[in-house]
Amino acid sequence: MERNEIYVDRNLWDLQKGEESTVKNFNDSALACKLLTIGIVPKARIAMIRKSPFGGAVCIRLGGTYIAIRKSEALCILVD
Amino acid sequence: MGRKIQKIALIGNPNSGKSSLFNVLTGLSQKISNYPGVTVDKKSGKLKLSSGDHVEIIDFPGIYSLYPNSSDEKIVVETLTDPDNENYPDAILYVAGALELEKHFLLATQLKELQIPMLFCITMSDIGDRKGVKYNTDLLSQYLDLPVIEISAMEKTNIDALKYRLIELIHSSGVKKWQGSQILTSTEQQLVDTVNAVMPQSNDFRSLLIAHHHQWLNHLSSDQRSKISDSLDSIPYSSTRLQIEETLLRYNHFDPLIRKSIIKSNSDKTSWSARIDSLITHRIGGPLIFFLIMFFVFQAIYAWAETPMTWIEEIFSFLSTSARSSLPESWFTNLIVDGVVPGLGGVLIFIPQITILFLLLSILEEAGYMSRAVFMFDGMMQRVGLNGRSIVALISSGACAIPAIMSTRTISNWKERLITILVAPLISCSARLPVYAVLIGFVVPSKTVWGIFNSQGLAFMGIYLLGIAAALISAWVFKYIIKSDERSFLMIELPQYKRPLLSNVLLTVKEKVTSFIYGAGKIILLISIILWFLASYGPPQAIQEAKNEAMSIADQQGIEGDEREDLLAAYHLEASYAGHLGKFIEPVIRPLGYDWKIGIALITSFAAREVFVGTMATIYSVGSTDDELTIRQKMAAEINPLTGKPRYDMATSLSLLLFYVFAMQCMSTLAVTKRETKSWKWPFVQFSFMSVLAYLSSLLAYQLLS
Repeated sequence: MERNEIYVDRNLWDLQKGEESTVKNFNDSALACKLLTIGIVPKARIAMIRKSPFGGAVCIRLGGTYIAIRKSEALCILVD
Repeated sequence: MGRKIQKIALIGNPNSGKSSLFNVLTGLSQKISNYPGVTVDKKSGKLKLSSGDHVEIIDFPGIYSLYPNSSDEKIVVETLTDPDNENYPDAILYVAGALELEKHFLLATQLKELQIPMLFCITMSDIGDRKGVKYNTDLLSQYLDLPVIEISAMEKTNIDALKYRLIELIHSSGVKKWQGSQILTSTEQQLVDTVNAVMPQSNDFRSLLIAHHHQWLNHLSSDQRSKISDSLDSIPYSSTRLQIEETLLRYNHFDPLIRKSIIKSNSDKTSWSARIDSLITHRIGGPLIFFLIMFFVFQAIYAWAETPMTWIEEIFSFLSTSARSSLPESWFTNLIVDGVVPGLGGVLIFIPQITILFLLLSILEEAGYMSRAVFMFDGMMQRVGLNGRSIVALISSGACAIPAIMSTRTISNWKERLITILVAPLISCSARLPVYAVLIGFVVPSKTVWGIFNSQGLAFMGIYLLGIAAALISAWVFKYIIKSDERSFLMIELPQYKRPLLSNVLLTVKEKVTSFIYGAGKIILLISIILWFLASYGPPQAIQEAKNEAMSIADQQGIEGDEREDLLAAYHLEASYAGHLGKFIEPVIRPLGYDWKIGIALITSFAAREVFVGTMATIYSVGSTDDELTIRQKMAAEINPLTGKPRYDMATSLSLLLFYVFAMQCMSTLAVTKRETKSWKWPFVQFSFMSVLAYLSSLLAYQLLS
């Protein structure tokens, strides 16, 4: 069990509050296409700042910019 | 020989400081017009350069890339892919923020491919300086093969240098193909060839954009669209895949250059802005602060607007009286005095409330708060089929549904935008207030509750909450009815908090108020005139009979002066076309507890809801006073002949109140819905569902209580 989990991709939603990581890839090309335009690209450093009060959205930090995206978008961003 | 006016497009990412620069360059010469064929407002302004050139600056909506999402953003691509478009720019002023310069490069390099003369302007250099951010602009300029200039719209530094660069730009001749241009892949080349075979373009990147966007570009004829579509079908490719590859290639190309050109970067990652956010968007504190702010906003609207509203009322009643006394007695005078002047007054009376609402909202927006509200409520809004951005529209709807519906243009998903448009009018707008004020006294007697609250004040709040609940529930229902395959998403920058720039705030307010006056004003005025006709004229014989009867009653009872006039007016209204209409619809509204008099008021309310009060005043022959209290006393004395009890008992009044909460009694809103959805279907749906909702709830209330 433990071994398997190492190989399961983590996504942005899984990150702890305040945790920073590097974007690896996306698992949804339609959403990826939109995320790329604001600079969420592979190798970019990205931090999970906090989730929204009613769930559904997440605030991330990309470089020095804070951006709100939806849970579905966060789930499609695979991180290291 | 008249010189051609050069067009300069202001293009950049959202939050790049584009609007501030636009305001500095054009100031009060700004105007709002329409882009051809679409409903997006075009913001443009004039600028006279020291060379004597007059240029038109067009402020395009902020975008991140030429692969756009919302209807606001699409307008940029629509214009730039069509050299015949009247707004096709002679030059582009590209606006990039000083912080995080790299995020502005994707769009800049795409625009560079279009071979339009361009100037790269780095704004907010003052913030950059403060944060210690510094770039090697020579290196950037060399890479982009463009002049690069740093300015600050806030402190007005380098604006003259910028204008000088603009003169150079519009007098430059032709643009060479860019060295950094991306080489087309073989698939992309096929796409370009396909488009060129149907509609030859002088620029390959433009052809490529047309290939990607041919389905929605308006400037393509349907013939061109279907030809391109057919030829593209034979090419195995994925538009999304190609866009992703192109975007990634661009990042890989300019990333090393940006790294090289950074002299000093911003190392301060946990800024004070982020610390404020941990409170403002806190799980519990965030929504609480939001509701406090909204409470303050609505308090302010009603408290501050009261005095100017009284002035407007007085000015218009003065205009009416003086027109009546100075013009000769004729139908034309009646039209002016009873139709046009009150109609204009009916539009202008809302200006104080709308101005205050948008003043406060644009301060919140400028300061950076609204995007936080979008972030906080997106989850809740998604559950009922709306978007976080809908919250802005729903709040605006508290003043007037018209600017609210227009503000939905930033919602990229069509279904979410449509649902927002459909349910926004359920939020109680300011036009309903006078109606509530008259009726609430019949439903809830005034007394003190729990020592501090006034029962009628609480009832007011209840009515507002009822409207909000109805909007959210209807949205939730529409979520299951309206089908859409379009993927919904949210991507919104939470910019640093900053002190709002007064000029930006004032220009936004001016823009919103003007769009209200033109959007709603024309229709309210037109309907007022139609209603004036319906209420002033009737079958001649019936009118004469009514007049005779009223006169004999007045004579018998010795009624003189104003009271006599009021009595005559009441009988006249009953005999008029409006009276006939009221009686005609009486069978339909009787189950709700209404008679033909209320029927007339319901009909006239279509111009604007607050007309209810004026109509009631005429019906109950108190036309010569506009005092709410007098009208209320008259209404309270009215007896229902069927039951022998007061007409405005609890049941009828509550039923009427509910009707005004839910019913779609606003022609202007329907007209704006038609304009924004480009079809008669949606205003029809909106009218129907709200009418059904109003009818059923009033029916239920009356039947249960009477």
